[in-house]
Amino acid sequence: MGKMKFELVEEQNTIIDSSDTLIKVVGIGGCGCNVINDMCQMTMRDVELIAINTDSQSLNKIDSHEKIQIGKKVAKGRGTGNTPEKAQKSAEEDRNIIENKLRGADMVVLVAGLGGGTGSGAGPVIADIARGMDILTAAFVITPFNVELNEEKSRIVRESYASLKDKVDMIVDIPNEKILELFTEDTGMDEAYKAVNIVLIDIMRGLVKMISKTGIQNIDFADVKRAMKGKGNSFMGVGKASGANRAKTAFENAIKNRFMGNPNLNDANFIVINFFGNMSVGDIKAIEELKLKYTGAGAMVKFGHTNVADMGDEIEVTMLISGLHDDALSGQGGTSEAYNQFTPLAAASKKDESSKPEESKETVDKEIQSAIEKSATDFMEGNYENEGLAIPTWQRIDICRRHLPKLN
Amino acid sequence: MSNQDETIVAAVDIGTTKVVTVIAEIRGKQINVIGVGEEENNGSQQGTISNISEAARAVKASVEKAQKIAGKDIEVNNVIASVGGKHLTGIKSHGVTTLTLSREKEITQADKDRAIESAKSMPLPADREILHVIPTQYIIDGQDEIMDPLGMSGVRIETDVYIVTGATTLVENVRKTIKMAGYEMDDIYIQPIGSGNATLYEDEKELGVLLIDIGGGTTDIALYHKNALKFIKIIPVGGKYITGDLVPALQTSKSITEEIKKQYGLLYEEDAGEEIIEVPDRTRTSTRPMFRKDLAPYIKYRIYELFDMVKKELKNEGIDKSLYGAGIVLTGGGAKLNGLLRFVQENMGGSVRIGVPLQEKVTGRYEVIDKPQYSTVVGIIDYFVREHGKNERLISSSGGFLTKTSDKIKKFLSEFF
Repeated sequence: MGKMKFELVEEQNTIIDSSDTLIKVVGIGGCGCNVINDMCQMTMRDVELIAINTDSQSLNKIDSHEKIQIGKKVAKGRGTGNTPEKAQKSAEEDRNIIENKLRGADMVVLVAGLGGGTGSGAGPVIADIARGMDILTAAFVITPFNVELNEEKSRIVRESYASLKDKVDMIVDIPNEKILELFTEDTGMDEAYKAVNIVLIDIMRGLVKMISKTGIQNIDFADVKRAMKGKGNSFMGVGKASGANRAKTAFENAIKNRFMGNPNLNDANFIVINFFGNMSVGDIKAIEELKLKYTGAGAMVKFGHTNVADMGDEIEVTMLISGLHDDALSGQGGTSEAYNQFTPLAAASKKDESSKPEESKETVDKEIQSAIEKSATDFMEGNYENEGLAIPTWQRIDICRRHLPKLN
Repeated sequence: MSNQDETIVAAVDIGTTKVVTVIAEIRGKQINVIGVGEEENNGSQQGTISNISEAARAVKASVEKAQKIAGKDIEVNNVIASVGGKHLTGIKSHGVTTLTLSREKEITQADKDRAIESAKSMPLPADREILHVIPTQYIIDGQDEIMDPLGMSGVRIETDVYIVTGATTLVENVRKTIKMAGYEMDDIYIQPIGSGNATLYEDEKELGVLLIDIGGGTTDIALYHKNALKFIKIIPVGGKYITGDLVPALQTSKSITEEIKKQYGLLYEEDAGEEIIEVPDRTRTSTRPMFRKDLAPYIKYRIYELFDMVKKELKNEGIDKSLYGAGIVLTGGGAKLNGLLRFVQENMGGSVRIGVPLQEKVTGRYEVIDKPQYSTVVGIIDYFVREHGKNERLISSSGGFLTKTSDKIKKFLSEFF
């Protein structure tokens, strides 16, 4: 009966806040904790903010719901001095404390700077703890300026990125280097860093809203989970627009995120797009067109829209694009070169490729067959109630999608 | 036999993608097809009606098309209809009765009915109704495998039956649809019984045969063994999904994709060679070329998945090849897919054929209905004609819609029994 009522409300286009999904955002190390601090100051609602660091002094300055000082024995209350190994040991030392703080979360979002000590070293351990508790885990990593890079630092970035990617469901990379391209020379560094944090906060807000607000075409935690689970390289963007063509412009703004480069949607595995605002028929039409356009890509597309009466003329769109190939993120125009020169991602992916032996046709066929068989079993066991059945088999099953001929 | 003994029957098969009507004259047990009509149906999903007024429109249009072909003097007031969808399920049941103390201890229809009634008296959820009760065997004083016990002697009569039930609301929706279209519904049969009846030879049913009916919205599996329906399962995957799988690949409209699928769709790349096909854009203003063989993988993954489901459903039910020694019969619109016969042969083994309504059952416009997509509609007529009265469901109990046509048939059939 409860369910019936719920559906009735949905039909009336009312919005209900759902508090069943608990998201915990965990800032790790100096950089990650700064983001947490900014989130607190900008009153991030509906998420729990946790700061984790070895450095007690810097942790004291952070304003968050929870703070965990790790590695009291190993780091003795100080920083890790750019040695990830030390941070790793610190996190291992306090595994139980971290586990207790993460308990109860449906989703954990890790925020860390890579290339230093704590973020790079403790990040993968915390990710491991979260995954071990079967919590959906995403990581937003901020990678250093090119100037900062030397051989050692590049190695740290590369290794920690790869190890983190291995342990989380989804990873989003935000290179600091983009700041140099996006701001004028006289912009204060504080302001520039803040801008990066704001992007992150916008994305987090978008994500929380997408999950917690019940829309007309609803996207809930289950959808987000499906989109993120084990998907690796991902992209998230938030775009806003008003006036004529607002749906389309907002969509494009979300995709042209200044810090993450343009995702190549054709290479994505899963796309979740949610619109917020006082939607009109015209907007829905525009969205339908966008939907048609992007369903053409070899990805599963989940669309949602939520009517929010108090947004005036403005429309906001949140995009979650997951399962990107390692090289699917490209910069905009002339900036792509700089992005590619900045090697962590590219190097990590190259290493991946070279270590992978060529798959023979038989192995691929076998893998495809067992993936399809598994999918058939899942549907059958669910008594075919899963709506995913209507989605093309080749789109649903990753390995099928990868072995399709390219149609012009 | 004079012309007056002929009866007109109109059968309506409400499928997920289209409604097919066949109007036939019944002579003896022979179905003489005089009119066939087809209309696209946008009022059904996965085999069940989701929009009554649209489905009713399609029914009416389809019947009128068939009427036009049959001739002006043919009036259709009553129809028989099909019902499909995942909600249809079958269960086995067992009934027992002892003979009344009649002098000769000879089994009568009343005794048979009592055994069936006993098998039917099982707890049924309020939202489900019995559609078919199919006796699979009678056991008289311990002697089993008796198909017709009438006139035999005995004291204790048992029966094994296969009971097919459906969700009351969804069955009711078929009634409402037929009514809204302006017709009286004489009877309703589940789709797999229809297609099985039209396409299967008696000796196949005796030996054991697996029917796989691939429709627009569902794939129906039916197992016949020892002349009786032993198992049905409806999988909500059909040809419509294959079209859906191709739409994002071809990036054109659904209707164009459907045409391309029908004309060029295939499962094996090598069957297309280097053939190049032209795919029109949404507005049909321009076309772009593509290799026909590139359609294959988009289709085959769905087919792999579907047949994995079929195999798992059979395994779940403990059905192995020994129960369908006569092989597999593929029917329904989806059976026409290029390469499917070979795929099922390689994938499931045994003898496999494409089932179309059997010629021995049909006269008249056989050349029109000689296709897998007409199996169900022809089959329900056949069932209506041959099995009427043998379907142990109490027709009168579900609202007394037994009307003119079926009365006539009953009367006419009674001359033979």
